Amino acid sequence: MNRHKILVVDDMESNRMILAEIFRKDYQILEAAGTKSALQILEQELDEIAIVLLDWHLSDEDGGKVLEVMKQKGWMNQIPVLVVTAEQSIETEKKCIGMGASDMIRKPFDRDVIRKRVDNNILLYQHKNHMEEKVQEQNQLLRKQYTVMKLQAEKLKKSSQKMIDIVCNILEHYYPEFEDNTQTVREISRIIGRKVQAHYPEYKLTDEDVEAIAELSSLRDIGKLLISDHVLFKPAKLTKEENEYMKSHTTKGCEIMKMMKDIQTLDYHKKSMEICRYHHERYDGKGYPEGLKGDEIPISAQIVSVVDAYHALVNERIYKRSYSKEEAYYMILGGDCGIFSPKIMECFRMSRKEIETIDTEERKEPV
Amino acid sequence: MNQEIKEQLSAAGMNVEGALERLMNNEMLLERLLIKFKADTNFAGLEKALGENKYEEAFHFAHTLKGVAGNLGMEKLMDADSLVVERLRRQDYEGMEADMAALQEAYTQIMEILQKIG
Repeated sequence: MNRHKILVVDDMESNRMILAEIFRKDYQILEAAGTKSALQILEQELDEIAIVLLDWHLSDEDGGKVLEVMKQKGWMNQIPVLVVTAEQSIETEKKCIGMGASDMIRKPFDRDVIRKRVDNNILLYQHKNHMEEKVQEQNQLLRKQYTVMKLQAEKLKKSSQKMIDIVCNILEHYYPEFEDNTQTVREISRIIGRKVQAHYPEYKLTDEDVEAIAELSSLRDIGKLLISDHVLFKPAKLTKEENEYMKSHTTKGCEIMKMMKDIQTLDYHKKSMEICRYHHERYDGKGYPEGLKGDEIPISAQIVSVVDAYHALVNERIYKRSYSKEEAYYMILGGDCGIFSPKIMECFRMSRKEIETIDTEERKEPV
Repeated sequence: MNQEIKEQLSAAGMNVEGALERLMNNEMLLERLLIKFKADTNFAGLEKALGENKYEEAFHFAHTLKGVAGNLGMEKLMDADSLVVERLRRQDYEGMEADMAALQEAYTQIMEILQKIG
């Protein structure tokens, strides 16, 4: 922006002529004899005026009016105003500066002093305006980058969701145990997750957390892919060694999830690891693999653990028949599947009706 | 504007050098401004307003005169006028006549010299 004009506002022509003479070598001089014409010129030449030299004793209206309007219209941010006055009182100076004038010069002024002051004020504003433009540019850039980043995060989230769906689909296809797993388990996890969110704010669950936990619940047993078929499908009671080996599906699940780290968002990855590793932990510390107690167990795993236990009960397994929903409900509450947190049990109780009315057939989505 | 007039103006309390410096040593411009000053009505306005006890108006005329005189280096005139301005600001009208007389004298002195130019 090229600001090469000075606006001189003074009702006395001779005063304007003197200032014009001093500055005409370096600037184009615009003159106004009154407030009205001063504001008109300002409006028209806003981007080309470098500074306003304002007499503080205009006859039609006070110079204060010019300052007031300039401030109102935001012009004061772009153009400095230097008040030139025969007034000696400190009160007037206070008033001018208070109203936003950059500086004040008393008549009769010294030629060199007024030139220096004008130059200083113009320079200061040039710097200021330049910095503001720069900041604005940077802001815009940042905002753009933020949008791109958000889009990419969204994309990553979507593709990792898609990945999970594919993996679940494969699991369902190859292992009868996983049949009807994905959508139902997700739905039950969602229902209980929402209850926890609503009734136990101490866990600070957001809508997104609940959704992520629901989504990832279907991955809890992904480690079973690394368990040998003869153990996984053994139609008899497992030996002690086999049982220990079976338990390793939790840590093996984490190994698989580690491989997926780069295609998951940070939060999704963290929750996946928690769910795979800790969904067999129990509130009283009698679960595995770590024997964590109480709220040492991440809330994501606490929610999924009860869903996992319930879901195993209502489905047939190679080692057991399926129980009815009512039986399963009471078995969970009765501690047949281990001890869960009282808070989770409360949520489970509150969710009973919703869980029992899930229509598994309709929930199955084609993948 | 010849040297003689400059000297007379100096004697009448005008800082000619200072005025010229302010005007980037443009003598022509100083002469033009001095000729304009002859037609300036602020002093007459001040006298009239005082005669009618219109003090606010008087303050405005006196104030404007002070600015113009100051810029033109008419220091004696400006100083005399300043007394009137401050008196009007204080709304202290006792003794106004004496101050006005001093101002009148300074003003007339300058004006008489200015009659010789333009």
